[in-house]
Amino acid sequence: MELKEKLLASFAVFENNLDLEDPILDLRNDSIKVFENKGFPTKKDEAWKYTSLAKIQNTDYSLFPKEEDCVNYQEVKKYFLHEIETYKLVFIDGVYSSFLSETTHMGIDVCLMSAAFKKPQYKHLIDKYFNKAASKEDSLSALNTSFSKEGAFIYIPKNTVADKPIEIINFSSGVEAALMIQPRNMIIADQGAEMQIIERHQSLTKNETLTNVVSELFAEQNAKIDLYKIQNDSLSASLIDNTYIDQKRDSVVSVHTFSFGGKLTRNNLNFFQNGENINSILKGVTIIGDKQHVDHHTLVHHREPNCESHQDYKGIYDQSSTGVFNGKIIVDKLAQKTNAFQQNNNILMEDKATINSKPQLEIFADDVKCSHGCTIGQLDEDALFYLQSRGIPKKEGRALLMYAFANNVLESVALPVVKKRINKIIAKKLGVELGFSI
Amino acid sequence: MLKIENLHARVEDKEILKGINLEIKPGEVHAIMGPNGAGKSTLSSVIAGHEDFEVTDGSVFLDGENIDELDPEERAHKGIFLSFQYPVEIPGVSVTNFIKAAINANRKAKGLEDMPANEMLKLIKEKSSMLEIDRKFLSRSLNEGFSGGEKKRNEIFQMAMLEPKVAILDETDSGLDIDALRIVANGVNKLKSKDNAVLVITHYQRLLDYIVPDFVHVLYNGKIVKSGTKELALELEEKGYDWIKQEAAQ
Amino acid sequence: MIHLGKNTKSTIISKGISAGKSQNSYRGLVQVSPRATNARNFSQCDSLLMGNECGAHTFPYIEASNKSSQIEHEATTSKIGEDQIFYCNQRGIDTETAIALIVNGFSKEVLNKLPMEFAVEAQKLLEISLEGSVG
Repeated sequence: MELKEKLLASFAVFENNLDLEDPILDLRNDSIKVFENKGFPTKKDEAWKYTSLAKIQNTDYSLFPKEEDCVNYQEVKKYFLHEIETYKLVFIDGVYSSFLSETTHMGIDVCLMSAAFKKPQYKHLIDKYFNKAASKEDSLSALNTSFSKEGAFIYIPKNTVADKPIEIINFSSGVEAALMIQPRNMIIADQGAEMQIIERHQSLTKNETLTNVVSELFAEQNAKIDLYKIQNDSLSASLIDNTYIDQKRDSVVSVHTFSFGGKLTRNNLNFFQNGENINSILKGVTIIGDKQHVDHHTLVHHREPNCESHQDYKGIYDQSSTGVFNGKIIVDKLAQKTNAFQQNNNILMEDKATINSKPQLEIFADDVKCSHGCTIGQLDEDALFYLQSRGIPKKEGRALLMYAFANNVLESVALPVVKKRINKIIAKKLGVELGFSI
Repeated sequence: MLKIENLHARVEDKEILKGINLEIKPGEVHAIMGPNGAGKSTLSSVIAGHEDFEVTDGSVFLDGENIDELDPEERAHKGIFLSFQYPVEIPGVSVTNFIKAAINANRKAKGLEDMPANEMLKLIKEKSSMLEIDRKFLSRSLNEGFSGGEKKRNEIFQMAMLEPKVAILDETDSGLDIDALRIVANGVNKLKSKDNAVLVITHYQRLLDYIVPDFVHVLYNGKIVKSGTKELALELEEKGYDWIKQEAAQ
Repeated sequence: MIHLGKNTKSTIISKGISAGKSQNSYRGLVQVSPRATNARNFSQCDSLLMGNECGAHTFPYIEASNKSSQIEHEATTSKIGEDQIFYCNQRGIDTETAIALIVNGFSKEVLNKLPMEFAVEAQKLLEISLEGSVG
């Protein structure tokens, strides 16, 4: 059975097993209809021109894991941040793992989507925010909405700074030969609130996994959210990440996406600026090799005056890897005095690597400052020779140059432990020991 | 120190200020809050003398002198300082060069010579360390590529250098995270004295925990509709502006 | 700028300021001949508009006949905004001085390369040329 049919058939069963009190029953129905009509995107859709989902559709993914699997802490210890204390929301095969997690309700709410759907004290938040930022028309987001059951639910109240960063980790245990999960995250920062989140998906075996995740972030007035996405999954993992961010006036939201692993990764990152004096920061580093494919589709929609956005994506593509960058900026007529910057720089290490880069600027206001720049090139051979002439071996020299290339994205990572962790991952990817600490 | 009498002002054909009365005495901190569109930024622009705004009635007095006919730079020479909500970028002009030009322009207006270079340097060092601004920052082009927090810190740095009589802070806290907010508020508090006054325009009560006001006024529909102490700000934060709008309608 | 020999490098920085009802054009040719291996050029042409009635036009010509050449061109256009003038005014700087400050900042890259004596003259000349261009 093709994946689409399987999903539609499973929805009927899923729906029957839902709580009668389920708060979004109608929404689920509407959403599955959207998926039914549109199906999986094909290469004929402009937004999916360079990223094919054909293989995924032919894989027989299990949609609900057979049994709850226990994962050994020792196995997964290395995926957590240890140098600092954090809150943790850990899911195994889409199911909450209480022994690996650390939730809280003291002053802030770091808990589960399933709890938020059921418990009356969260009803007003679900009513106010659920699915209000996500696209109702996008087929895969709608698919996620129809099946949404579990994920992270984070609420930081007015003028509260989250005392610890929050880790959201989704593990796939490999108990199924092929597994599809659809986490749904809701992250709300009320007026003046601040938080930092680190998100990652990790498969623990070589079994195929497909993750279709939707994350909605809401930054109320004067709030601040820093989100770090670490995408370093195994080579049998496919990820479709749909992140929607609704910002109100004076808020600052930054998203850093580090794409190093996975077979197929598609990042749909959408920012909606609904207010004045908003700052949106989108940064990414992609370092991939053989047969990997990473696609970044970003959207920043400037709707009101005096806002800014900064996009900086760096990509290094080795062997026969392929990459896509599509950066869309919309500046409404009302959005005067907008400052929007977009930069995409790429290095192709070998002839077989490919990158498709497309900046899209739609500007309807006339008193704005918008720029976009894109470069595609190779490592500077002269610079490499210079390093070699100073005794640095070629492999380390190349790594150093690539590191320098990605540096200004790494510089803006505010959490030192995350920076250190990313450094380590990059060093490992490039096969070197970085002989200095960054 | 600053006295505003029955001030009416309009921009293009729209009347925004419809009779503002406010008196700020030396040593006082006043706060103005209000919903969007109430006229808060208009008020600060009018006091600073922006030519896009036409005063149709009433007057503004500084130390008893009517300043209605004075140009913005003349008002600055007399001691009015506006910390802008959206500080402008001036590429090619460094933070240092700009403040030097401002200080010397002010001295010239008082009949003084340019400040000697070593004195200027000392002053810059002193004020920049108070606001935790490092030397590299000083040679950057004014506001170009600055983060929100850096822009606002730079505004207060200029305030520290120019030592105005009346400082108007227009939404200095919007978009600042808690760490940046503390540095800015600290700076303002250090500059407060019995010989100057501060008018804080803010959207969020939180700033007033750090810069504690003697009086809080609510601006709605171009008029000050309510005045109180800092408790009023807390009440507004809790209840929003609807009750004010209802009261005003009655 | 004509590159004929091997391993040649050139830089062109042009700053144009238009005021009143003037029109400013930059027409630049960078030519790399077939034998000019490894030639590098960087051209930057910036225009500053003062007021709404002037204009600036850029015509870069790049003729490269050698595949190892590296040629870059950047152009920016900006204007002296009322906002900038008001900001300076509010800090006590009168409008004429403000414009001089901004124009100086704009031209700094070029003026910095002049010998001291000439730089002072050039600055004064700029001030005189722009006198009365406000309004």
